[in-house]
Amino acid sequence: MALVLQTLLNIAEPLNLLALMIGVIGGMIVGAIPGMTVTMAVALSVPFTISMGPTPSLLLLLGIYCAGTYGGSISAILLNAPGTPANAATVFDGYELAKQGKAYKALLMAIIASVYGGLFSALVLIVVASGLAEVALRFGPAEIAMLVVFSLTVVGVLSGESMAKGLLAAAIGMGMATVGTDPMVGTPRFTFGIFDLYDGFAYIPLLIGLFALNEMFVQAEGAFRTGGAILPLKGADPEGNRVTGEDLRRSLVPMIRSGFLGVFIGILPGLGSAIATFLGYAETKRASKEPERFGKGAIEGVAASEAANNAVTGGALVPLLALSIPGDGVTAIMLGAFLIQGVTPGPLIFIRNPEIVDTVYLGVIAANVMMGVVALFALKPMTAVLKVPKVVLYPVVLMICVAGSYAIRNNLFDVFVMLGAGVLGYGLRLFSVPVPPLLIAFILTRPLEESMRQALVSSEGDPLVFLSSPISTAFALLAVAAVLYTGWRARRGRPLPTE
Amino acid sequence: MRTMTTDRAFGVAVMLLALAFILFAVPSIDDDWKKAVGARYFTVGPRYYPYLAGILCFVFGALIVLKPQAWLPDFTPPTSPAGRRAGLVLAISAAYVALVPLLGFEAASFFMLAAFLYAFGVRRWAMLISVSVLAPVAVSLIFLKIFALKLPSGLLPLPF
Repeated sequence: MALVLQTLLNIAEPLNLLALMIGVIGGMIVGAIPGMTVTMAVALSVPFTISMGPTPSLLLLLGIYCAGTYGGSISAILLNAPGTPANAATVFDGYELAKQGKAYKALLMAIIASVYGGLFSALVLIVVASGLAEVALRFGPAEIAMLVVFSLTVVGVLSGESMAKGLLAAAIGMGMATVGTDPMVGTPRFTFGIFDLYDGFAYIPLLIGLFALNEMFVQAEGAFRTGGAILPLKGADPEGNRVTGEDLRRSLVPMIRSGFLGVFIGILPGLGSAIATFLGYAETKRASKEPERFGKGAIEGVAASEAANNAVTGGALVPLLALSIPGDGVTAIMLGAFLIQGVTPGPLIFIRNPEIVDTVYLGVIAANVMMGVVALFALKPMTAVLKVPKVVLYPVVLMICVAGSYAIRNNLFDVFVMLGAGVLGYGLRLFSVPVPPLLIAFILTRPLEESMRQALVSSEGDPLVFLSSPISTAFALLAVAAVLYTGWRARRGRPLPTE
Repeated sequence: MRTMTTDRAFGVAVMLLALAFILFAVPSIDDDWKKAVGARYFTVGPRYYPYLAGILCFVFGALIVLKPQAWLPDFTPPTSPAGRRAGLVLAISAAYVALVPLLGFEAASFFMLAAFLYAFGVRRWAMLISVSVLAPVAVSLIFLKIFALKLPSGLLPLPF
C-alpha cells in the first residue's frame, strides 16, 4: 500500500503530470487526424523518452495510447472519417447524430464510454496481470519458448487477411533479428564487417520506419488529401448538445458488454481495437430490441464502439506486463520503451520493479481520467486540428523520423535503417503482408532463440524437450489449433475478423 | 485474376529470397563456435535459428504461391499516379537521408520541407518558407534544449 501511495505521489509530481498531459493532448490530436495512427504517434514519441526517467516516459506513452484511441472518434463523428481504425464503427451512428445537429451529444457520449472502457480495462489489468505473472514464474526455457511460439503463431494468424502472409511477416522479423552477435556464443551473423551491425538493427529506427515512414508513403498515394466538410459541433436544439438520462440508460448495458469484449480482445495477441470496436457495435445491435435504429443515430452505437476500443488498451497491457509478450504494434513499441529504460517486462518485473508495475496501473487510470477532463474542455479547439492540412504535417513527421532515429545512438547508420524499414514496410503492405507480426517477432526472437537453445542444451539436443511438460505441450497444441481453426474457417469462406 | 498472378509472383520472389538466404547467407556464418569458451555444452550453434527463419519464409512463400489472395486491397502499381506519388516521397526521403550527414539536420530539413511542400502543390510562399525554416529550428531546439540530444550539424550548422 505504501508503494502504491508513493507511486501516486510520484505521478502527481508536476513534471510527470506534464508528461502525461502532453501525451494525452498529443494522442488526442494525432488520433483525431485521419491517416495519422496511434502506433505512429507512439513510435515517434519513443526517441523523446531516452533522456526521461521511467515514470514520465511511461506516462507520456500511456497518455498517447489511451487518448489516441479516443481521439479518432472526433473525426469519425464530425468528418465521417475515423481518425484511427479503432473508431471505424463510431462513424455509423456518430456521423448520423452529427448530421442531425447532435454532434456534441455524440462526442460527449464518446468521452463517457471511452473513459469507462479505459478505467474498466485498468481494473482488469490490475487484477489479472499479477496472477498471470505468478503462473509464468514457474516457466522454464521450454515453456517460455513454446509460449513465444504460440504468441507469434496467433499474432501471425490473426494479423492479416491471409494466414500465410501474417506468418511470413513473423518469419521475416525472426530473420532480421538474427543480424548481429549470436546471443549464446558471440559469433557475428550477417554483419559483413560493418561495425554498426554487431549490435543488430536498432529497435527504435526499425519501428519508426515500419510504422511512421511506411504510413507516410501510403498517405502520399492519396496526395495527403484531407476529408470532406466538418460538421458543426453544436446544433440549435439544446437536447442535442447534452447527454440525457435516457441516453445514459440506453448506453449503460452496451458499454458494460463492450468493456468485457474489448478487454478480452486486448488480452488476446494479434487482434486489437479495430476488431473490438466492430464486435462491440455488432453485439449491441444484435442484442437491441430496436436494431433498426442503428446506423440512423443510435447513441448506444457510439457508446458501444467507443467503450470497446478503449477497453482494449488495458487488456493489451496484460500480456505485455506479465509475460513480456506484445500483442499488437503499440504494445510492441511500448516494450521497446521499457527496454530503453532498462526495465524488462515479464513475470520478474513484479518482483524487481514493483514501482514500475504500479506506475503502469496508476498511469492507465490517470491517463483515462485526464483524457476525460481534457476532452471535456478542449472539444472545440480539438476540432480545429481537423483543418490542419496533412501535406504540411507529413514532411514534419519525416523530419521527426530522421531526428528520432539519429538521436537513439547518435548514429547516422540508424537513419538509413529507418529508411530501409520504411521501404520494407511499404513494400510488404502493397502485398497485404501485415507489419505488426514482423516487429513483434523481431522483439521476441532474442528470448525465443535463447530459451530454445537453453532447452536444447538441458536436453542434450533432444527436440522433444519442447513437449516434455504439460504447459509447453498445451502451448504447442494451442498454436497448432490456432492455425488449423483459422485455415478451416478460411476454407469455409468465413475468415476470422482481422485488423 | 491479375491480382492472383501478382500475389503468386510475390510468393515466388519470397521463396527465391528465402532459398538464397538458406543456401548462401546462413552458411557464411562462422561455424567455429565449438571452440568458444563453454560452447562444448551447446548442442546447436549460431546457424540454427537463421536456418529456422529461412525455412519458415520459404514455406510461407510457397503457401502464398499455392493459395494466392484474390484481392490485394493495398496494391498500387508503381506506374499509376498514386504509385508515382509514393515513389516521389520515397525519392525525397532518400535524398533527405543522404543530405543530412553532408549539410546537417537543419539545412537538409529546410530543403526537404521546401521540396516536399512544393511537390505536393503548396504554392503559398509564405507558408512554404515559414514551415521550411521554423520546423527544423523548432525540432532541433526541442531535441537540444529539452532532451539534450544534438542532431547532426554537417557543413551548415546553426549557431546554437
